[in-house]
Amino acid sequence: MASAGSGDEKAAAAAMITLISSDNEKFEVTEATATLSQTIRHMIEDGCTDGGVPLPNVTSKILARVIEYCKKHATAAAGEEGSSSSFSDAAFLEVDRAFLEELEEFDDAFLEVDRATLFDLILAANYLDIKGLLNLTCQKVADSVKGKTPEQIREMYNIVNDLTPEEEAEIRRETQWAFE
Amino acid sequence: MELEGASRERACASGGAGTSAGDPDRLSALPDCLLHAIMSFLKARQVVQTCVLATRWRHLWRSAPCLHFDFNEFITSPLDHDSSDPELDALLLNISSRNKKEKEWEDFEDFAQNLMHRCNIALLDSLRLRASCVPWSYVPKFADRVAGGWLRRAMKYCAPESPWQREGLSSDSWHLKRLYLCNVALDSRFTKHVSSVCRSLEDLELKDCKCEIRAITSDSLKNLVLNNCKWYKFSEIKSPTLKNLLISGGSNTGDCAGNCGPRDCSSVPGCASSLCQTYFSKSDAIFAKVLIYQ
Repeated sequence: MASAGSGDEKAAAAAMITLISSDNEKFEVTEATATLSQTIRHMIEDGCTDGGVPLPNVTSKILARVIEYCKKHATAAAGEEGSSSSFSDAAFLEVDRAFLEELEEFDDAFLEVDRATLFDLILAANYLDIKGLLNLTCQKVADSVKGKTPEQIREMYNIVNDLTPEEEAEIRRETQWAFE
Repeated sequence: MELEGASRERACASGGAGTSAGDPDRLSALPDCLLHAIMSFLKARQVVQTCVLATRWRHLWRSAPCLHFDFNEFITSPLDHDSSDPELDALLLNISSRNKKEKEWEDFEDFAQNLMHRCNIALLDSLRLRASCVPWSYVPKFADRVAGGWLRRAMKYCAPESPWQREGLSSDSWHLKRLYLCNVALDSRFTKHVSSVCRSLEDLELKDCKCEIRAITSDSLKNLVLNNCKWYKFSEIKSPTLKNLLISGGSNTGDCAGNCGPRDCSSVPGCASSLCQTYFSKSDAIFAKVLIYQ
């Protein structure tokens, strides 16, 4: 049973799963791709994926991106999954440097999105429990504020400072050891 | 208070849904667990500094599950990139005054001690402690011992008085999963804590540490990385759960084998399980000589 044009053909009899976005668009993916999401993995294990998996928290625009990520990473799943540690079994034995580099390039390109999309991806990765994607997107946000002052971060993310000047001064006094 | 710069930037970056002037603060709207996930990629000082962003952020740092103490965060360098040119480094070292450098270490010390007291150490998943710095700055000779002291106190006070008496109760042990130490002096008290208190510890990485340790014993450790450490009479790793062991560089003095290398497999007898994969290399830790330990 051929999968829909993706690179997952190695699973010859790959079972297909239908994912349904909040705006009712259907996406057919292989089980290997879908199970990068722990949430979906559990649904498959519980046998409740017949008739499709409704994902009311994820729009079709974001789901398409998430699937794109999962397809690419499904082949590396064994090494990626379960732990954020880069030091896991399979990764060390069958390390394919070129493949890892390609994956890295893919991730970099994947993150070239506007900020609203980035936050949507974070929420989707969290909801679907896709560790790799969550780490990737959270790191992107972290990198954007790295080394910035609180004022710069507020400006960057439009954070409204609702502290009174007195409150802020008090907090700065309490945590002076972190600001010196 | 709306800032001009922010509006301009949004105007440029807009295109996605909901990005217009006065768009919502998507960052602060994230649940605590996701803000903590983002914070886990920042170093500890910046994590604490988020407390002044807004009320939403005031106490978040106290419950951060990952803390990364790094002396580098306190170094005010004339350059913001890592230089690999030793001459340039030496020059920069001369330019900066000695006093300033000593103050950098003092600030780090004040910071680390304060944070260790004020954050919720018991909630940590991951602790990284790096008491070394870029080549052009200055680390006092005793830095590794001071850092060792912070760690020892953290381990002592995060944990129950006598965990061995109440075996089996998970709340008795520190649920720390990952520990990374760089330039920290360790002795037998550390290994005692690892085996008796850190019962959830899965990843342990020691880099450039001076270790007066004979054995590492753990019932939970999966990945152990020993990178360029100075050992004294190190002879045993006992961990039935260990999956990966990487020893790279370093030295071992005393009555055990001289250098860490493939021939030293016999010096890690506790690891004599077919489940354990062992990697030894000098330089390229991951891709060089790989030895499967059977």
